[in-house]
Amino acid sequence: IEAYRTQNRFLNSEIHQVTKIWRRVAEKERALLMKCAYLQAKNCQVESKYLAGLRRLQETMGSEANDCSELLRQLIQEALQWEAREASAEGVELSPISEYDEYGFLTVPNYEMEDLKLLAKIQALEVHSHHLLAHEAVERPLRERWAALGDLTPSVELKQLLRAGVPREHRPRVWRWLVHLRVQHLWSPSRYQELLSRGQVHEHPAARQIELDLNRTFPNNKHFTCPASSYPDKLRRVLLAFSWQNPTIGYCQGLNRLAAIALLVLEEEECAFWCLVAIVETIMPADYYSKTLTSSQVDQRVLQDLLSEKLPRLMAHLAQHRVDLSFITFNWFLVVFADSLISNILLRVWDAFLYEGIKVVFRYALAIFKYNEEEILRLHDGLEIYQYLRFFTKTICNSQKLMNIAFNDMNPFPMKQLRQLRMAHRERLEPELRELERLKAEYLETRNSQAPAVPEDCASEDEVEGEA
Amino acid sequence: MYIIIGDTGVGKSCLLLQFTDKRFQPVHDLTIGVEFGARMVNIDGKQIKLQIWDTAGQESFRSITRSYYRGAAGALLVYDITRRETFNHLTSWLEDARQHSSSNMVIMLIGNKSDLESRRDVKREEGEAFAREHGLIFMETSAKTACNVEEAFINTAKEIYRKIQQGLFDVHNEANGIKIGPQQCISTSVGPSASQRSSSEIGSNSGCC
Repeated sequence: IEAYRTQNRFLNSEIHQVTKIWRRVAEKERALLMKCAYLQAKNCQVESKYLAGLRRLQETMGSEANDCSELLRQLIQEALQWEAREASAEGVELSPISEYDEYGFLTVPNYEMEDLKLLAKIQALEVHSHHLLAHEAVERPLRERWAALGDLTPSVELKQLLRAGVPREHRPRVWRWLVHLRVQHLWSPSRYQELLSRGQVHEHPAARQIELDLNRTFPNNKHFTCPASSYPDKLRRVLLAFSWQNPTIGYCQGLNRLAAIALLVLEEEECAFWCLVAIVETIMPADYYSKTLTSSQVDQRVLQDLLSEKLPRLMAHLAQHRVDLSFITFNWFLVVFADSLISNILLRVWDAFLYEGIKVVFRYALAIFKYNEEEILRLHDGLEIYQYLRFFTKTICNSQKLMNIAFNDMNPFPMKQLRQLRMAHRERLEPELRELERLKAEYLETRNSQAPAVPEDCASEDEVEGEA
Repeated sequence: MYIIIGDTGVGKSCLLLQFTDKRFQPVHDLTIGVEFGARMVNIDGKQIKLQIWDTAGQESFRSITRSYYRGAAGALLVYDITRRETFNHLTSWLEDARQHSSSNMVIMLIGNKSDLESRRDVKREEGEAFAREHGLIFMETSAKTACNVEEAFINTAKEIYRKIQQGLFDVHNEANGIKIGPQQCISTSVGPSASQRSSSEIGSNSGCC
């Protein structure tokens, strides 16, 4: 027995030792992984700086056809072909840049201009390095706060949390709650099915346009491009149901983007439908997506007033180069940045937008300009500025910084001011639109009275067909 | 400065992409609001930077599109040869363009998707007749095969250039969509040989449609 006792004691202490060792190893592993993530982030940054350097060289050398530029071209080719392949060979779970992000969007944006390819790669690297760095430092505590939150109720804390962004695993649940909060007075359990069956009896006039736009929705997202995917069919039904839900609007291009984002997050089509209803019928003003897009046009003017107030230097610069920002920002408002921001920032904006409403769009629109203000001030040609503004929203990868600008630097931001500006601009815009209509009618009248003496001999039967 | 107009889905953005980037994207994101492209071209030995605004085609966006006409020197009015309704709407587009732009704006009528001959719904002669009736230049193009795309943009630029030389555009007023760069001056006379040479260059590959 004594022998057993000794052995037992020995074994116990062994177990104790082993556990200790195991714990230490686990800790070490975590520390190493963190270090690894940090190094990887660092590597991404260095790589991105290298690429940026190459890009600058490429720009300054221009089209000079000498040996240097040939070498440069080769380096760029090589750099573009770099894959994370070598890194992941170790068996350690590193996180290489994958082709698609967690919502199915291409991580390396597919810029239409060939010479922006380097830039696209640089961005993907920057985004990845931010992601790696934020993972431990920012997102872990945030995840813990979300996990501890329990039942959702409107509160200041919730507002803060939503501004910081909902972790992916909580997002569908939180969005469902946010949508429900907004549409409860419109909601009924059978509404969606009713609307769908209405579409089976009559074809909605908007149906053809919807069909035409289905495969033109997010070609950079695998869920919408993969032929076997169920998303396009879901999207069709959501948009058709909406065209019956709101016959005054029916379908306006842009709604497809809103519905697609809702589908990507909520997955279930009925939820996505209500999300679309929440945005169009409860958040945006009534004629935001109407025939004349009046409120959308009003908001562009309001934004310019706010920009003049918050970023006067930038606005003076843009005015000097005759840049009309509404060309750029109109899209931001209509589709709530769906075309403009990379998905992890976009969805954060939506987290706050679904709770707080349109003010969030204004705040972020201002913040985006502030974020890139120096870059824009450096450009001194209207054309160049437009070219830069075409893609500059996608170069933003520090969501923390952007959020701080939107919700801190842009304060004070009273809703009252926004309402007043909107009212003032609407009062100015409406007569302008009426005047345009009047001019058009007048123009048509004079044209008709001057009955065009068209040589009828060339009007074949084809033209009759053409008028039909 | 140009503007591309026409019904939604006729291939406006694809024409622009083909011209600025020599690429065709079968699935193109639909344009909301406005897109933008630029390219340098050489006309009669002059480097000219074309700045091109590509607009959204859906009816609702017309009230926005109107503000883009203001500074445009040229317009590409596009329809889809496989969809008759896009041809039927031309008159209304033309009215918009004529009403909101300078009277000198050069308008080029484009029948796009000429590669889809089997699905053709609008005859080439109809396009020609429409152009004749309204005083437009006409071409059929294919953004997919690139056929005539280059020519469509460049011929429009040539026409604008011709009008400048005739003094029809006030080049000092930027509202007309023309801006003279620091190092280039618009010469007042162009020898017939120069214009002949360029038109024969066009002729060499315009037979593909």
